[in-house]
Amino acid sequence: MVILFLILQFRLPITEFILKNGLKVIVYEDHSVPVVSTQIWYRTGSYNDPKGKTGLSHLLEHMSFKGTKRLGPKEYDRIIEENGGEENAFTSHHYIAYYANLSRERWTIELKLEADRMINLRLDSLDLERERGVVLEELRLGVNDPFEFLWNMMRANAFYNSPYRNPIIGWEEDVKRIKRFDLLNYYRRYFNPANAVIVIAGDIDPAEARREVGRYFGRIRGKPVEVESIPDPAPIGERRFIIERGLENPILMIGYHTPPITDPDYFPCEVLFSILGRGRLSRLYRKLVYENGIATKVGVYYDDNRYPGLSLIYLYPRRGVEIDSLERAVYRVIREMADSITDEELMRVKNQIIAEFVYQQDGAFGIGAALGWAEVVGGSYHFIEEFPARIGRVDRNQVKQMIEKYLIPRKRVVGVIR
Amino acid sequence: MILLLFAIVHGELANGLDYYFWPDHKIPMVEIRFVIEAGSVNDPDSLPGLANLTHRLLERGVEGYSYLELREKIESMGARLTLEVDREFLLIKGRCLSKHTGMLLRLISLILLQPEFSSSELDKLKDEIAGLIRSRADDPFAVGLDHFYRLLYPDHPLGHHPFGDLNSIARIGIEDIRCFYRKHYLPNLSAIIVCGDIDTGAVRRQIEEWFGDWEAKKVEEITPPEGFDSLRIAVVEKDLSQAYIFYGNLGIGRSDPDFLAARLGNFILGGSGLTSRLSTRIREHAGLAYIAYSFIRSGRKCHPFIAMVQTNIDSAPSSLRMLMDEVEKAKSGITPEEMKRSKSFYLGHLPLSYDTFGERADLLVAIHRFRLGIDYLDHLPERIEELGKQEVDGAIKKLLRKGFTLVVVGPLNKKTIHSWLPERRSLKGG
Repeated sequence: MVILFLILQFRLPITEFILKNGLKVIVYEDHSVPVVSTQIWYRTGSYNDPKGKTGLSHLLEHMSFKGTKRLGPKEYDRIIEENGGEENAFTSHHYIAYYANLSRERWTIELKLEADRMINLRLDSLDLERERGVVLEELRLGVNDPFEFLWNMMRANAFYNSPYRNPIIGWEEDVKRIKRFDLLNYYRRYFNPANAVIVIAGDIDPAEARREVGRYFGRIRGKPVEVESIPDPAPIGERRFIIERGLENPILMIGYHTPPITDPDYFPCEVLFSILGRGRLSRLYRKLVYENGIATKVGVYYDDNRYPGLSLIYLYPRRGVEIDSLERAVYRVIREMADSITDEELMRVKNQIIAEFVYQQDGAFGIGAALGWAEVVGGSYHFIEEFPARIGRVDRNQVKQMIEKYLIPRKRVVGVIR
Repeated sequence: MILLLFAIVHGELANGLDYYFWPDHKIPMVEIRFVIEAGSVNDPDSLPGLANLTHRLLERGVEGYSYLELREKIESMGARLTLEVDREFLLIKGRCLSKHTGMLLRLISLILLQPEFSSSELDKLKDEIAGLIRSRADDPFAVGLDHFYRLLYPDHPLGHHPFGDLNSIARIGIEDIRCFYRKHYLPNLSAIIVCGDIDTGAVRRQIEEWFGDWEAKKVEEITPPEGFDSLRIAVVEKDLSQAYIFYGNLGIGRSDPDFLAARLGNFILGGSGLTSRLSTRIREHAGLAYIAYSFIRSGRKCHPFIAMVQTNIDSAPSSLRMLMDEVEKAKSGITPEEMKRSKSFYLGHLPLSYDTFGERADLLVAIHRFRLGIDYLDHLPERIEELGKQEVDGAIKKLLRKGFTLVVVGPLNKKTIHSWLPERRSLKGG
């Protein structure tokens, strides 16, 4: 018998404030280890890449390590490194984020560097040509990876108009034609305090955070940026495709158009995908890998994004098993599931989600990244606090309704790489 | 029992099982590691993949629980439990809310001491592993690395991947599994590590109760692989848009007194992200690759130094030459300024290495496996401070002195690779 953990409305040790220039700051206190993770999340990403210039956000992320009017190329990396820090950056559909994890007494180094990066990037032409080469190699790595390549093709086949159809790294020919001028325009538009969130997590006092952020960012002018959504037409029928690559182990992906994290349906959908494909007790693993042995690996991915996305079921067939029969078996599992979800399954998934909420508080970077992501993608870091309780309220009927509403042929994309 | 600056507790049961605790009550969770000093290096010559199948079969049915019942127990607590196999060791990784610590430890003890080893479960597991082996064949990085190890350790069990191959796993039967289990799952080869929100006294008593009767046995040592002097080359022809280049040698053991100095040296050569010599030259200045780095794998017998680059076919000759050139130059040592940078990084980085409970648990695995001592973290800053440039230069020379292995994956052949090499060398390998 599975006992449901007590689900409460969690409150994290967070202080938030907003500077006059619009810069929002979220401070998460954890004094257990003398480490501070400082992260700046810009509210822009590949979703805002201009048409024909896909990959621009990602290329700008790379170029922002190439020096500013004050610092030479790689000086940023060198300074963080000399102070024992870890640093990196990442780009997605709705954000470009930079972070450095440093020991407590050195944490303000990152603030100073990020303030400089926000207004002083050099974006040198020669550097651009070199870095374009680096990015193209990164892009080719993805092409050589069958799973990543198929995933990008799934998106390209699923969306007609939404920028979600483009790989975050961009299409090769688009990356090749991005000019310095394009980068400068984008940088000037999106990199300013009113379009950013700073998250400071770890061994930090909120008053000190407020003082230091004010010192480095207080004088930078903020210009709020309006970003329009570019909706996709409603799916009108199933789409399918096959990529022939001569692989040893083919991959089948079944994608469904699913609701974004701002939609109330998101929470029952999250539970649905967990029951379906997460862990060794999931319906797909038990039936197709463990009992029938027609697949050797299954998994699911929920596309928790700002706008309607494409969530995935992926499978590797056992040698000799036809992809078509594996696909039909997936649909049988989904059909059977609709009328047979048990209380035990529901409770188990809820307990896992609540436990994960605790686990993600272990470590300054992890919790900082969760808060930053929730703020820029979901609109508020409170999403993280409210998530366990919202999941706790999901019932069996809602999950069944989600199967009937979203896991239907009209909203389906099927891709195979073999 | 000893208490130091870091609140690490270490002890040993009468049967030789080591235990390490790092209590911290900041959040109600716990990380557990159970490490056994036996890995795929212990596979018999004819049965590569045996350690992996044995270890993963442990959880597929134990006394009182079927595989799915056991997973139900674990997952309904919101806990995580994974079984991993390395070339040198076997690992169980657990994570749970602190209120479930006793239950997770109990389940780990059942997995380790009461496995059922059923033939039908073995067949199911073999199918899953066969799928993973076939997927590795589609991953150029995995293909390159597998060839690299094979060429570096010819005729030694370190040469094969822990998964084994499709033919070898087909040959493995349930009696092979039982035999491997009896020989290598021993308390005197093992340690249990528990970090987080725990009552150390209670956990100590549970470990004594559940693992105390486990019988110790004498163990056999594996002979370490032999070195060689010549350059060995392998080319794996694959239809790709890039070449994946792996260049390295036998490296240096984690317990070697020069390991720390070698690590500081490698930081400058290829270990420090974008500021390393390899990354600066190949990625930053030439713009030829996204990945250009080097590392030393921490190990007792398996500790290769590997430098690697992934680049498009046209740039592959120059990238390979740059990579080999930087490795050669590194033998002459690093500059005083580089020495300062490397020391400064490792000193400043120390708190970041134990930020999470998981990082602490992994640190304790290393402290146990390499006999670093539980005062390792207390003394690490002064050990880094004391290192001189001469010691680092000497350690790099020692690291890079042995024969090298070169593996290239891409739409290429061996003749082409030979033509790229900066000078003629004696060649072996295929």
